[in-house]
Amino acid sequence: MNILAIDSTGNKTSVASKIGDDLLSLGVSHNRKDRPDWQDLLERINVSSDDLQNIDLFTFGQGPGSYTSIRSVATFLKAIALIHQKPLMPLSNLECIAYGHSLLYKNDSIIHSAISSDIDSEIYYSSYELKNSLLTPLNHEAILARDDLDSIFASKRDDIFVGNGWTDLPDSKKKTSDASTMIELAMARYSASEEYNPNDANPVYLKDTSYKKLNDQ
Amino acid sequence: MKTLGIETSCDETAIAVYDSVEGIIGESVFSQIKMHAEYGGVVPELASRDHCKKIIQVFKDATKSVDLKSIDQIAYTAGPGLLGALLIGESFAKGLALSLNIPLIPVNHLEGHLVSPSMEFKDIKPPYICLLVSGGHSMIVDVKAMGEYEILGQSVDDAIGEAFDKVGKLLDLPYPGGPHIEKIAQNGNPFAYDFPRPMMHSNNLDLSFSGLKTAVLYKVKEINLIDKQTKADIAASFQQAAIDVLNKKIIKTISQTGRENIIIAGGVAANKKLRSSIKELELKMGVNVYYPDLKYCGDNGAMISFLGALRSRAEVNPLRSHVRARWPLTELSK
Repeated sequence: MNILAIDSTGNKTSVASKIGDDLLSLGVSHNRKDRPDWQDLLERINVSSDDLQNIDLFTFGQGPGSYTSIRSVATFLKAIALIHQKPLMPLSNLECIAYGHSLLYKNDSIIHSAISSDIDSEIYYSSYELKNSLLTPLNHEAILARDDLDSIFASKRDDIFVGNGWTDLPDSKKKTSDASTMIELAMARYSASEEYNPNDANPVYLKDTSYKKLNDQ
Repeated sequence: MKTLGIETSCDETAIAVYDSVEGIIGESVFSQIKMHAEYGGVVPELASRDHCKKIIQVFKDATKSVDLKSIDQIAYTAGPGLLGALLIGESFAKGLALSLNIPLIPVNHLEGHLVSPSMEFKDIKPPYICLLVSGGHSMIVDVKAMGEYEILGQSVDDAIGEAFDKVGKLLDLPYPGGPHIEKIAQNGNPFAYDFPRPMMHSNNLDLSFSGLKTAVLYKVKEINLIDKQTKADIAASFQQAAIDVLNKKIIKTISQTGRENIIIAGGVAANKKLRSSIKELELKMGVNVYYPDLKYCGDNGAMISFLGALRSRAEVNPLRSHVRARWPLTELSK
């Protein structure tokens, strides 16, 4: 299966392609004023406009993270998947980080994933149970306060902690998500019976209550 | 040649396909008004989310009778507008252009409004005057030629549509206020309250609506309990004052420039009272007044696809994003 992945959830944009057995990836920094050109990035991993028709599955990091860059990537891939009539699979980058480390741990392990956002100083959190090389979410993704995160860390010492949201971890466990890990997770998660409709592939928003309606004011 | 146009600068997700022979051959607009009405105005973050969610359905509706392989180029609104919303249109446009292997043309939203009447009225050619009145803009533009625009006057404070919305709020009318003010004003006396006509007699062609809005605020506070008829009278008097100012400025513009063709564009151009008031100038001053069809007064994909066709094969640097929250007309070059 040929897969193209883009992850823009953190402070960089990474792209990866798996064409046959060849896995190519690339990451560049991005910010509000300097947005990378995806066509250029794709060409740098040898994916041209003509090659897009040979991709079987498109995937992207749906967050949590920077809304604007996630939405831009989601919309870009929506158009491509729509035109080529291919599936588009959104993936949680919290799960992606957990999956990136899961191969090191035994079945039934509990993995706590936390990401610190550079942009708005928020910490995103979720936890998963590892079963037969797949992760089952144990809770809804959420924004947590530092104190809450510290208490989880203190009370679950036997579990596994990954991601840059935890303060007392070695750098090897603080690796954030990237497009090449997304390809691995997409391969593990893909099921031919599911549709992965591009229209339904949207970012995840953890802050839906930050706007006051008129009758609430 | 077929140009697909994408518009997402504010709260309308709109896509259309313009064929240089047949005209508009497919179009669809999804308005977010209902969603924003709950907040009393456009919430930029929610606008971006909804564009992202709805853009595929709008695209499908607009292209249901169009062979996608026959599309020659993609135009999209790159500004001015809400940055997050603009990025959705640009991202979708980039994905389409890359997949279909066709050129991409970023265009200016205001220029879309300026040139859109030529899409409907084939005999309109520059030079002409365009009164662009919407929720975001109030300006009088001398369209000297395609890509050559001189802003003769513009609002120094609120856009006229913004003033309509704010007065609508003062009168407890649903958002957006413009259409509701127009509706209740039909039963009101336009001369019941003598609201100010700011800058109507100034020497320049600039406009101002903030003082008018504040005058309505004070009147509402003064009356305290407003019955249905008083509300209608206030709406009618406010609308009359705003239209009087625009009317006077257009008369002044015609006298100064000698232009014979006048176009009224933008969301407020849907106001029937404004339309009839400016239309009367045809007899009084011997000019031709044109309005877009009502469906093209607000933001739409048709004007973007048409403008894209006019700016066909423009030189575009694909290596960077082109969206700009601010993009003055005066920066456009031929």
